[in-house]
Amino acid sequence: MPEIAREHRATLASDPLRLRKARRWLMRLVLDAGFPPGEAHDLALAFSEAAANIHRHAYGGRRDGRVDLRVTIDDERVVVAMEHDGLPFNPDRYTPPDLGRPSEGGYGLFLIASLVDQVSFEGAGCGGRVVLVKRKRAVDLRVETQQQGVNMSQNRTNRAETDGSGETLPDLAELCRIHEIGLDLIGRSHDVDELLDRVLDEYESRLAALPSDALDARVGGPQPDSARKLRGLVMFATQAAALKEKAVVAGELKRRAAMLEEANTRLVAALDEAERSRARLDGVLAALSSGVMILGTDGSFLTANAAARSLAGATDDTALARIIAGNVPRESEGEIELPIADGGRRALLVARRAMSGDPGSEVVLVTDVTQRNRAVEERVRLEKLAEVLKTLSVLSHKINNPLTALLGRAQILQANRSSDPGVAKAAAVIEEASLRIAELIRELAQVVRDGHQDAVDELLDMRAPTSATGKRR
Amino acid sequence: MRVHVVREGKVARLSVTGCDAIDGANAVQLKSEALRLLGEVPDVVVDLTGVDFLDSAGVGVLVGLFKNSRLRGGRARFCGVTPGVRSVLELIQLDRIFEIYDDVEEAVRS
Repeated sequence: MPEIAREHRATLASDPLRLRKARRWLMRLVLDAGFPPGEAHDLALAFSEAAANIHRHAYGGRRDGRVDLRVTIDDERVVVAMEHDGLPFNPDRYTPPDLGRPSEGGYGLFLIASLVDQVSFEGAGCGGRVVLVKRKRAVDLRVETQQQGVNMSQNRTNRAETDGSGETLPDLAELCRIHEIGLDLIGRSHDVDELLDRVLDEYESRLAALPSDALDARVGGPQPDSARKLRGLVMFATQAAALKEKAVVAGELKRRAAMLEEANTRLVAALDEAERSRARLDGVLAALSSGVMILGTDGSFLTANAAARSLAGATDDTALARIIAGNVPRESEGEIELPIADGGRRALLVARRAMSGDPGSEVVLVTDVTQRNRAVEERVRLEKLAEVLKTLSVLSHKINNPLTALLGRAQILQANRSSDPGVAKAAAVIEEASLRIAELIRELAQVVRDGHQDAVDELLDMRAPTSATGKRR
Repeated sequence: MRVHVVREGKVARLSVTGCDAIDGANAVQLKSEALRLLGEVPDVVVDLTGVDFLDSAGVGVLVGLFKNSRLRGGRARFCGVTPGVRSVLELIQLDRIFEIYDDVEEAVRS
């Protein structure tokens, strides 16, 4: 059943400078009656255009003309009647604007007709009357309130659906304007959340200012005027709460997005640093003359530097792992010999070490010890040669003494002519043999001094056999 | 109400402070002041942030700025359009003719 209509009256001057106050008064009445903010805005704009037309056309620009205003509101519609003493308006002379060609004027009546459900112009002779009718589109207040709580702009007329972004701040700005909350709040507030807090504070103060009968159900429920105010406040609170909820969600999303962005930045920096470390490690491995190979926990090949491949003469990684690690037990070291292209052999020292920081994995160090082994063999050979020379020197010295005596006696026997011819002949044989022994000793000493190593090697037979060996550490 | 014009390169940025409405009460003064400050500058960005009520007189101001720029071979761009202002522009279909951007930076860059 329609509510009993309430009527409000006011008298205005046809002065554009005073029109804003009347416009806000009208909007407050309509909002308090439970009309949606968008419809209240539309009606206020239509009223503003009608008042401007009265000033401009009925009163010819005079600012002292009288306009009697009567606003009738029930729960289904608002009727705004504006009576004046100026020239009446003739609708027949109205020409709609060409919307395809922007103009600096001529939109007033078009806006009025578009914004309200009904407009009429009455008058004859001196004086006229303009009547605007705006119907409430959503009859069920609860549904309307819920919808507006989600997005106020969607409950405006179809032509002004939304700003497309669903942003909270524009909605809030409109909410503040409709409810005459100072727009300076927006300027002073640094974020939506703070702004909503201010709006809710305003709501609380308005609630406190309500007449006592507004909340008193003992005397037959709230009185109609108070009920309308309550209804407006409930809608206001619902809208503000919904906007705040959106703001909280948006704030949380923004905060989480910032956290993700920060974490991503740190991760990218860490990956960059890891990449730089890996590049440095690759550079170090490439610069090493020794071979380095990394084996996994199951002994499988992971990586190796170029030197390891070169030393092993391996054509693929599997062969490399087999050649290098296959002959040396885990966590031990040993030497292996490999044939090389020129027909010789290469000796490699292989050391398998547990890798710190990666349990189970191993780092294998490969060193070419061919030259070192040759140097050791040469030193041993020279030491043996020195011993031989020393022995030869001693032997020569020790042989020379008896040999000199023997040779002397043989020569004495040959010089003694009275001796038996057989004895003289034997003495000659002894002398010749002694001279040959002395010559052999001199030749042997000369060979050693001249470094005829082949002869010495043949003499000493110093060649030593080589073989792969492995020993536990 | 005060009209501010700031030059940013070849573009003049125009904004209004001290008033949340462009209507019959201030339209004539606003248009006159804006055109005086803009002078010969053809390209203008009109920042409507803070203006949430626009009537037909206010529409006339915006159309005047739009035409003034076109006459000088430039462009007028609009930004900071609040829902209340946007609904009026859409009703008159000026949103199809005006260049409207979300914020000043985007409008200046365009």
